[in-house]
Amino acid sequence: MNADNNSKSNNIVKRILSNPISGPYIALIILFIISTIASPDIFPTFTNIANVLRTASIVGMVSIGMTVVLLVAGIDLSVTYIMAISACILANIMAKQVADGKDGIQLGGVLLVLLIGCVVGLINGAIIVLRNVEPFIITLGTGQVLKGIIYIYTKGAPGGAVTNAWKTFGSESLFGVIPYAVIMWVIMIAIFGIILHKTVFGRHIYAIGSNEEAARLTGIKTKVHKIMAYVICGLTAAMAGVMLLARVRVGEPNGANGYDMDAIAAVVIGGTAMSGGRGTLAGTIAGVLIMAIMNNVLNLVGADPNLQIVIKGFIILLAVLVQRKND
Amino acid sequence: MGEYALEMLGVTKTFSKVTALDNVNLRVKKGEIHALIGENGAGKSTLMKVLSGVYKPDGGRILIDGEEVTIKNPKDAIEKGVAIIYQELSLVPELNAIQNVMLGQEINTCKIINSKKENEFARKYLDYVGKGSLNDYKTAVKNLSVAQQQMVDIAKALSYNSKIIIMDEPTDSLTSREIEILFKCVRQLKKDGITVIYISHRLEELFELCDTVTVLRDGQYIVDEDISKINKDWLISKMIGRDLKDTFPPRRRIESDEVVMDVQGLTGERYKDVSFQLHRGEILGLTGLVGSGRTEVLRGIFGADKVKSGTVTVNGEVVNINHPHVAVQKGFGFATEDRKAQGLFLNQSIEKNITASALEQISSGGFVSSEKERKLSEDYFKELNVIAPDTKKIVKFLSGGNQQKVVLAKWLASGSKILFLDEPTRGIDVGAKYEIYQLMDNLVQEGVSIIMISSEMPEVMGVSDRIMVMHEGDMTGELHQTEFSEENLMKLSSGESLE
Repeated sequence: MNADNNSKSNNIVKRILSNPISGPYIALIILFIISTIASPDIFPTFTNIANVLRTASIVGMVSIGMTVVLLVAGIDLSVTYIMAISACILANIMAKQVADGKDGIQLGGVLLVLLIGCVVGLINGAIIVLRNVEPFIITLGTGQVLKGIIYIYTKGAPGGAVTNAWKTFGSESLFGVIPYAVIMWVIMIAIFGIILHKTVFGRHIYAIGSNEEAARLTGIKTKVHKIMAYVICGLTAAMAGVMLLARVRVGEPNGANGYDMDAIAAVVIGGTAMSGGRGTLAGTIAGVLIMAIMNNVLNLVGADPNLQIVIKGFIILLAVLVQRKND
Repeated sequence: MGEYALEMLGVTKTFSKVTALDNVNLRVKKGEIHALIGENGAGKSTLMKVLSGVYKPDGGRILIDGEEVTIKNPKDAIEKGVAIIYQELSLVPELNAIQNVMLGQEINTCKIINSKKENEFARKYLDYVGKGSLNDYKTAVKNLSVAQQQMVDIAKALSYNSKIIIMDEPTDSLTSREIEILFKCVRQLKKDGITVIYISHRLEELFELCDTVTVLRDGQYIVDEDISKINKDWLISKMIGRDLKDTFPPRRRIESDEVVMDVQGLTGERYKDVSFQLHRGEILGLTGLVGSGRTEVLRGIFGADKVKSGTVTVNGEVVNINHPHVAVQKGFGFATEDRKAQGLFLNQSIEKNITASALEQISSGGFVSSEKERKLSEDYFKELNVIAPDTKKIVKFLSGGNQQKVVLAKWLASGSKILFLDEPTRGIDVGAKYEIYQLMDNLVQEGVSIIMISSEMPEVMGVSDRIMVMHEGDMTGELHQTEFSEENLMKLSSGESLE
């Protein structure tokens, strides 16, 4: 009887451990506990956690599209500049509106920059798929083009303004509890979670990443789907740009630097394979939170900012190595 | 010095709960060609992976030249004189023959490669193995034929001073002429005292080539015997543990004049002016040597490659298939020759593989119904008798025969009416082959029409209602039941005409 119970609970433990999503979440829990011990007075407080989530939601938004792109065995290095250009353009649009005494969410401007994100994604995807070239180098190239355009457009200086509605979005919380930015992230995660796991489109994305030639011979329109993956990535990057703008309240040409690598790291830490076909948004959430908590707690304990970068690098290495071992 | 080059005694290996090898014995005499056979999943590959140091055995002893050894890893195996030539060749496609042989043992001075010495060293082995059939050592091996690539692989093994060479299904992708060349090479090895362990599904070959055979079944050692003392039926009965009356199930032939597909003047990159008709409920065999363009024709019809000219008419309607997507909608299905590279989503479940091209049926508004998906996949999982715990099992872990069943299940689930099967039984054991032939017969009864490509003449003749033969991109002839003979097939395959 006792032994029976033991084996049953062993089975449950085994099943949890063998689920690929468990690794990132176990790491997340451990990190949370360590952080609580390291900074018992500040880290576990409600305000701090809300802040961590608010920051995480921006990388988190980029990571949604990055997950989709990685699932089709691609990569997008242009997200930083998509973020920056959408933030700067929107800031300038809003500056005029604010000067005219208007306030509000400026839906037209927001939709415009989201469209720009999609168009950049479309260009990325179309070049990669139709010319059959490496996504790494193509998105690196389009990213540099965008970067130059941003500098020309802004003359390299921060500018523009943000309407009150977006100021509220960037710093306030619903009922004073959940930051608005986090709500937006969660909604997008839910939407894309459903798209990836419940729709024909999602199935095709996984099939293409798993074996592109087999997918093609199965009758899947691989080219269209791959291009769509980059469009989604451009869209979420532009959304992240809007969120970043709401948070810093000024269009900053260099404000999004580092988001590309943070997003890729978060997605990979969350268990998505860079070779495609394997990974989930649930894992990506864990990856994003791990990165955010780490940044936060290192700040709280007053670690040298340069040392923080080193530690972050090691965590990425560790996460990827642990996953490879489980393969 | 004992009489055995290799003894593996009581070798046991379990993976989590599955026993892959249970107390298996393998005794290989010095300088013989020893066949190792068994159905898929019988444990041949696992046993060879233990021998080549990929897996650590849980129990048992390995003796090489009578001396007990522990093989720690693949490198260790090579140093002990054991080399394995895998089905998937382990050559670097962009390097030439000499560079491939020298890979990992480059002759260098201060890390700078001495190509002159390398040439000399590698040529010694390449000349020995490839006499007369492998001449170009300077071209990238990806430009060589599969048989030539194998020779490079064998030369590489010999260059490590290997005493025991394991060949895993070496003839699987060879034409009959290439097989002859390979056999000559293997016999030469034997003459020079090298011991060969030969794994193959093609039983005829064993009688032609091997001295002794060891049979495994379900991870257990069954028997070993001199080849001269046994026959094929005996071997099959040992492999499957029962008597197998016939290799091919009886065919219930359908006489129908209804043309489901009419191909006229199809011309592509590697074939020209191909015309033929496919009737309802027919199994049309398509054969010819590798490189005759038979696969390319089917790929062209299916929209997988571009077609230069020609028309395809399906059920009286001229169709323009420019992408496999269109082909699938028109009711085509294509089980490709290379299942792993072109047919399966290896890291996904059986269920998702089966439903991959049937998602339209089980979804509404773009949303997949998991209930319908479960039902559809389980229906075909059962109908095709896929051996696995459930449909959630990842396809990578299935045997070749079961993987092929999953591929077929995918096309059946998508409702294909015209099925292209390219080497449907390649790399599949006898029992599963029979099941696949039976399934093909059942399908044509239900009105499906099949074109089957096969290099194995007994198979083409045993299964087809009619056979088309290709030679270097041309359709050289068509044989009806009464004209089926190996002689006729050979003639047409080599471009001759029948008088």
